[in-house]
Amino acid sequence: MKKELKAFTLIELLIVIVLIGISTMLLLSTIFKARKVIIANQTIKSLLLELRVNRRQSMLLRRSSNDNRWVHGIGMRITKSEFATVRYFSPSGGTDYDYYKAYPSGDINQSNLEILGTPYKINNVAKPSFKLAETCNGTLMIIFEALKGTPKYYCNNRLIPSTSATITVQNSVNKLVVEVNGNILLKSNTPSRVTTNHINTPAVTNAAYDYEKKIITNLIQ
Amino acid sequence: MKNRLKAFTLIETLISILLMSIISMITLFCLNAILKASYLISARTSVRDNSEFAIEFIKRKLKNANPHSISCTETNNPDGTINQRVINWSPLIGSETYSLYLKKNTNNNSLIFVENIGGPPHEIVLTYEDVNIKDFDIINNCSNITPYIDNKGVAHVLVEFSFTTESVLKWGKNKPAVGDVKKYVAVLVSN
Repeated sequence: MKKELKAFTLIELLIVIVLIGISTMLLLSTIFKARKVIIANQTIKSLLLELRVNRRQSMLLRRSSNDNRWVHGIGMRITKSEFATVRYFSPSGGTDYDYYKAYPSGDINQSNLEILGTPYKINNVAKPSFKLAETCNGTLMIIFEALKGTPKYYCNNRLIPSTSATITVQNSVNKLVVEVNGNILLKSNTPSRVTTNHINTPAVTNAAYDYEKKIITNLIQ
Repeated sequence: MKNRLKAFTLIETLISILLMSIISMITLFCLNAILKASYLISARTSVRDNSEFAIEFIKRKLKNANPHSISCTETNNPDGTINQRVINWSPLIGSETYSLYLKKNTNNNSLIFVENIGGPPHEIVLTYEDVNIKDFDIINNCSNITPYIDNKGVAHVLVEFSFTTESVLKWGKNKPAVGDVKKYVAVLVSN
């Protein structure tokens, strides 16, 4: 008796190939979407973190008449392709024990700017757009005034009389916003999905405080 | 010759389905736990980061103070409870004055530091909107912030205060993910 071999027919094979193709396309589209979301999220978080670090750096600047350059402020220069930390300094330096070098009221002179560190490259799927009192189509600069931490806004090195700036990092999938005023805030439209019960952290005794208190008590005695 | 088909029995199939369900549920539970842990860590980091910076900033300013210039004021509510506590001081060199107080906003409470270096007093927001400052307290009362002169004639003032923070990130029914974290600060100012 001849044994008959069983196999897929051409139609069956084609149907399977089409189904695998459709599944792969759906999977790839989801992966690319997720990639866009992750890139935009990462960009905005880095931007937020850098802005806060810059503000704190400027608030902690020390006054010193020995410095060759007096720093007016530290901030960020943002273009569509990158953002970088910049130091806005006065080349003349300090001459007396004044509290700080008064912040200049006019536009920024490019020669008084110094880029610190390596600029952060913005991936082409997460380009920022700026919302200010005047729409800025070039380079947005936010400088936090030394010691005070007050933000000043510049578009293409020209001072903008605005009290806040909104930087939107946006692609075809999601849109996230950093709002800069006296208090830098990330506004996210992503809904929170955490729905478990509240965890209450009890008041803790600060070990550092106890240690300092001990040293201080010894000092006074 | 008749081909005989071999297949799982009903019991085997049911056991397989059950096992697969258990494995899927464990995987889901683990992934969910990772997400929750990440969320909670973000909230804790925000609270710690904001508090530590505010403490270090205040300490740095206070360390430079003239001990004789430090004062503490309290304003009361009509019912006698304390409404606001403020610590004021001037540095050893210079005529500027500094104040530290809690400012209550409509939406959130921020720790605000005020400096007066000529012109209108300038407010510096020390904590960002990731955290709420729930309470600000002067330890051992305002009246105890007075200079102590040691046997070498050096004046010392011990400034102690605390503040309680909570995260703005929510966890469940509109309650903060991290709540009631109390921070104590002690600064010895000497001339």
